[in-house]
Amino acid sequence: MASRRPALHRGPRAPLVLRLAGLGVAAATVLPIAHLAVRAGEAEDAGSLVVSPRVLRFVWATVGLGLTVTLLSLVIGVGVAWLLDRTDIPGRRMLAVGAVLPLVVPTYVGALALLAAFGPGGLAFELRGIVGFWGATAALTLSTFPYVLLPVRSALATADPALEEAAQALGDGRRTAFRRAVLPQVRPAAAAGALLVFLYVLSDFGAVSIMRYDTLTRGIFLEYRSAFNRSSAAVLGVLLVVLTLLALAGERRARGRMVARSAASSAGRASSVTLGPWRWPAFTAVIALVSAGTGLPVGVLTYWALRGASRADGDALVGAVGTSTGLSLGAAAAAVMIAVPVSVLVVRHRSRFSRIIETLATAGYALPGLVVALALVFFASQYLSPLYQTFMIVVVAYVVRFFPEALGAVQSSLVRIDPVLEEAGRSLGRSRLDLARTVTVPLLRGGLVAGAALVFLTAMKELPATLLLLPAGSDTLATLVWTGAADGRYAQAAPPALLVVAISALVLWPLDRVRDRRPRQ
Amino acid sequence: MSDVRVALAGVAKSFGVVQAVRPTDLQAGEGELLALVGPSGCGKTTLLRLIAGFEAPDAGTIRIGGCLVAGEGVFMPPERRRVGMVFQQLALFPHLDVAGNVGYGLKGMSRGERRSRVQELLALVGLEGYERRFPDELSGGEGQRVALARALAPGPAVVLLDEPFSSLDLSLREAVRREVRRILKVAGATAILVTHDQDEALAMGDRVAVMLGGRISQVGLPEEVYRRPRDVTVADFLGDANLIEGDLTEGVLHTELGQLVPNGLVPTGPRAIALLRPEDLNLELVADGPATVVDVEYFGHDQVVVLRLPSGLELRARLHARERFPRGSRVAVRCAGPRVVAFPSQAARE
Repeated sequence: MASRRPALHRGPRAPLVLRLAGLGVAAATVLPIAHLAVRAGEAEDAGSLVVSPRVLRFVWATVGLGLTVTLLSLVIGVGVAWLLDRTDIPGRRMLAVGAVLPLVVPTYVGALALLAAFGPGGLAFELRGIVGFWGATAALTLSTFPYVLLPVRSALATADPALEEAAQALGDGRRTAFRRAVLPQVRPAAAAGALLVFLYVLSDFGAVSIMRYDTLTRGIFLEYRSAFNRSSAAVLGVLLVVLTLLALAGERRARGRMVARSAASSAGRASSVTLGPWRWPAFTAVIALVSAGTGLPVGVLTYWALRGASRADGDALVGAVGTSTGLSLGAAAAAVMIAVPVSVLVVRHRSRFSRIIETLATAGYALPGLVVALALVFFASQYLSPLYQTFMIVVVAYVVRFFPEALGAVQSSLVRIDPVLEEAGRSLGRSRLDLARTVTVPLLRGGLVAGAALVFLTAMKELPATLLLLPAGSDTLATLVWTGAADGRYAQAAPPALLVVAISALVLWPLDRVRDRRPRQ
Repeated sequence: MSDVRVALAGVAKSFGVVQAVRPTDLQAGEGELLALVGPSGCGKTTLLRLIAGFEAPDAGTIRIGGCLVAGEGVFMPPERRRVGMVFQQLALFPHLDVAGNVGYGLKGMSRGERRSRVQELLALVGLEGYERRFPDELSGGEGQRVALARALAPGPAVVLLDEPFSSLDLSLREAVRREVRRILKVAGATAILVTHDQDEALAMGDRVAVMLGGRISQVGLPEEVYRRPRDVTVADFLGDANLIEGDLTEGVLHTELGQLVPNGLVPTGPRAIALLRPEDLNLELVADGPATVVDVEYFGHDQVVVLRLPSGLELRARLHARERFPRGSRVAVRCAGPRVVAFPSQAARE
C-alpha cells in the first residue's frame, strides 16, 4: 500500500464539540479533587493532624488490612489457579465457575452475611472477634481473591509449556521446574492482581464500616458525619488519595522491571500433576471456599429474609428499588452519551491533548469512591449549591466514578469501525454530523448497550458515594443494606442485599453477545 | 482527450519530511479510464486522496469538472466534490443492506425516485434481487460491484478506485476487472484507478500514468508506455525488461546480440542501452549456440527461458510452451524485430 495514513481527521485539531466534551469529563474529575486538596491544605491543623496518633492509627489499620488481605488473596488465588489448571482435581469446570462467583457479592453484603451468621445475634453461633479486623479481613478476602485468580489462570494458560520442558530437560525436577520456569511467567499476572486487591481494600468502605474497623475510609466518613470537622475529613481524604497514588506508582515501577519476554510459542499442552490421595481433600477445600464466598451470603441472607418476611417494610424496599434504578439509569445514559464524543476524540484524534483527557477522565475509577464523593460534596456546596442535596449530584458522582466503563465499551466498539467508512460516507456527499447519525452511532450500538449496562449494574451496588450524597430521607438498595447491617437488623438488610447480589450477577452476563450482533433495522 | 474532467497542476504533498507527491500535473478526460500505476510508497494513493479531498495539497491546484476544489486558498471538503470512491477494503456499511448502501449518497430525492435509481444501478452491475442482502452475505466480487454501484449512484464527476481488486482472489480478479471496466464504460464515467499491478493498469486503462518516487514519470496509451517507456526505470517497472548495452555508431547499436537499430529518439554518446522485452526474443536450439539455458519457468500457456550470454549477462525470453529448452542446452538468440527502444547509457547507471 502506498502512503496510506491513519485516515480522515489527522492533522487539523479535533472539532470543538469533541474537545469540550473531553474537557468537561476531565474537569468533573479533576476540579473536585483539586478543590479537596486545597481545602485540606487550608485546614489550620493539617500538618499536626496527619501525624497525630489517631490518624496514624487509621493509616496503619488501612495498610495492615490491605497487606493482610492481599497476602491471603495471593495465596488463595494462586493456589486455586494451580489446582484448577495444573492438577487432576475433580469437577474442575464447575469449580472454575464457582471460584469467580464471589465477584458478584459486594463487600458490604459479604460483611453483612458474616455478621448475620456469626455476629452477635447471628444465625449460627457467635465467633469471638468477628467484628473488627478479622471480620473485615474475611469479608474482603472472600470477595477479592478472584482478582488474583483470574489473571493467574490466564497466565498459566498462556505460559509456554516448552520452557517447563526445557527446564526439565536441563535437569530440573518437576517441582524445581515449576518454581524456576513456570512461576516467573505467572508473576506479573499475580502482581497485577495483588495490586487490584490492595487498591480495592484501600477504597473499601462497606465491609470495614459494617465490621466497625477503623480504616481511613471509615475515619473519613465518621469525621464527615460529625459535621463539625469537615476539613479534617478533607485531610484524611487527601491522605487516602496519596496512598492510592503510591500504590499505583509502586506497581508501575515493579511492572517496568518485569519486562515481558518470550513470545509464547504455539503452546502444546502443559503438564498436569496427579494429586493422588489429595484429590478429594483439594476438591473439598475449593468447595468450602466457594461456599464461604457465595453460598454462605446467599444462604444466610435468604434465611433472614424469610424470617423477617412477615414484618418486612415493603414500601421502603420498593422505594429503594425505584431510587436505585432511577439513579443508575440516569448515570448509565449520561455516561454513555458523554462517552461517544470522548471516545471519538480519543480514538480518532490521537494527540497529547487526547491522551491527557483520557487519563484524567478515567482517573475517577482508581480513586476511592468515598473520596470522589467527599470532593463532590465540598465542591458542590461551594460552587454549585443548587446541586447540593439533589439526586443530580449522585448521578454526577456515578458518572465520574464509572465513566471508564462506558468509555471502554464504546471505545472498543469504535476502534472496530474502519475510519474508511467515514470517508466513504463523505465522498458520497454526507456531512460529518450526518455520518455520525447514519453510520457511526448505529454501528456503535453494541458498545453503547454494553457500556450503559455496565454502568447501570455497577451504579446499582455503589455504596460510599451514595451514602454521602443521597438527599436526606431517601434510600437506595445499598444504603438500606448498610443501615440495616449497622443497626444489627439483619432481617431488614437481607432482602435488599439479595437483590443487590442478583443484580451484580448480571454484570457477569456475557455482554459481548449483544455487542457483536448486527444491528438490523 | 476531449473535455478535461480532472486536472491537477503542480500538486505537491509532504508528510513531515517525506515528500509523498512531488509537484505533479495530471489530467483525466471525460469518460476516460486513467490507470495510475506505481510501486507501493510511490505516492499514488496520496494523489488519489488529494483528489478526493481527504488530504489538502501543500501546493498546486486541483479542478474537477472545471471547478476549483483545492489550491489558491480554496479547499472544498470531500462531501461537496462530487467524487465517487471505491475503496480497497470496499468500506460497505455493515449495518445497511445493499439497497441502503447504494442509496446512501442519494439526497434530495423522493422515496420512489431513490428506489428506482437504486434499481437502475443494481441492474447496471448485474445484482438485481440483492437489495435486502447485507454486506457480509456477499461474495468478494459482489461486494465489489455494490461498492461500484454505490459510488456511481449520485452521478459523480469522477470515480476514484483505490486498489479495488487487491482483496480479491487471483482467480476472481480478472473477471471482476473486466466487469468493472464494462460497467464504468456503460455508465460513461470518468475514472481514475490506482493500482500497483502493471498488468492491471495495462489491461484496464485507456491511458496509463506511471508514478515513481512521488512523480508521474510517463503518461500514455498502454502500448506506448509498455513498448516505448521513457526511461529505464519505467521500462523496468512495467514488466520484464532485458537491458543490453552496446556501442553506438552511425545510428546502429552493436551488442552481444548483434546489431540493433534504435527506434525514434536515438541517444547520443558512444554507448547506449537497448530494451528488449522477453517476447522480443526468439531462440533456436543450436549445438554450438552462444547462449546457455540456465532455467525455465513453465506457465502452461507460455514459458520464460532464462539464458546466460558468454559475457555473463542473463536474459529472459518469453516463448510458446510447445518447444522444450532443456536446462544446460545451447541456443542461438535472435531479436524478433530489428528496431528497439534505446536509452543513453548513463541512465542505466543511476
